[in-house]
Amino acid sequence: MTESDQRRVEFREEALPHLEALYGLGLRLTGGDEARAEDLVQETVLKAYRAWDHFELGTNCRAWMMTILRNTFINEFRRQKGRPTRVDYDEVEERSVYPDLREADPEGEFFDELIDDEVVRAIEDLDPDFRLPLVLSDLEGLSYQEIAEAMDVPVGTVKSRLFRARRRLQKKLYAYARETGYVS
Amino acid sequence: MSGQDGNDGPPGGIGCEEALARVYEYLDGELEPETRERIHQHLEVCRRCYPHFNFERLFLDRLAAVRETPEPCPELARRIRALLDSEPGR
Repeated sequence: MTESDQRRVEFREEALPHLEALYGLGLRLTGGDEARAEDLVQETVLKAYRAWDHFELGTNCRAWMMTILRNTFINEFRRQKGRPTRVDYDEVEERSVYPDLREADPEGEFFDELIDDEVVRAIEDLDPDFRLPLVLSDLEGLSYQEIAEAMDVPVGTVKSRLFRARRRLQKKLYAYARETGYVS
Repeated sequence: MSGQDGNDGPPGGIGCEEALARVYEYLDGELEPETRERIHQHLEVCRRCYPHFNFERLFLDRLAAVRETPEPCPELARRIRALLDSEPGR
């Protein structure tokens, strides 16, 4: 086997097991848009393959590829930033659901009752301007500053959108838990 | 210790409303050390704020748990394998 064949085999073995996780992140970032998420994954895999010589075996391949995917999405998002947003700032009362739950479920046990699928769909349903800061912070672990740079907005804007996103998501999950009977 | 019996002002020198206003910054680790410490002291003794902060922490933990939730994509996997086959050797 030539060296380049060997590298190819190596790549397949190391990188392809992460496709489903990458696709998952793609769906979270695009709000459930399967076609866009697939394009993202494809572009990510090709970039990773072409940069494979620079990847150090034994380091975290999944994290590396997730970062490539995330940055690919962010670059695309920034290019499209000129589009008008559909964000409704008045629509929903932005407060924690904790006061509603304090008696019935003060420990927030209903969070554990929710299955991943339900949480994921609720995230994907958020408006893009709220979804992106939330995904970058709460799934990807980026700091406010990193998110501000990624989105090319001030840190204050990141905080405002992130906190609103969390409140909206909380409200959604609580409503769902009540419908499903996780909470009375 | 100052603050615990209420005689020297609110615990941590910070009121409940002020503490709660910064709950997310606190949980995100984005506060300056001095403010973080004050809220921390407040939470150690405040029976109103502590459960609320804890609730928000559980919420954020639940979100973090879906970090790498995989989604099946057999068609995509097939397409990508085919694409890699046609890439020039590295």
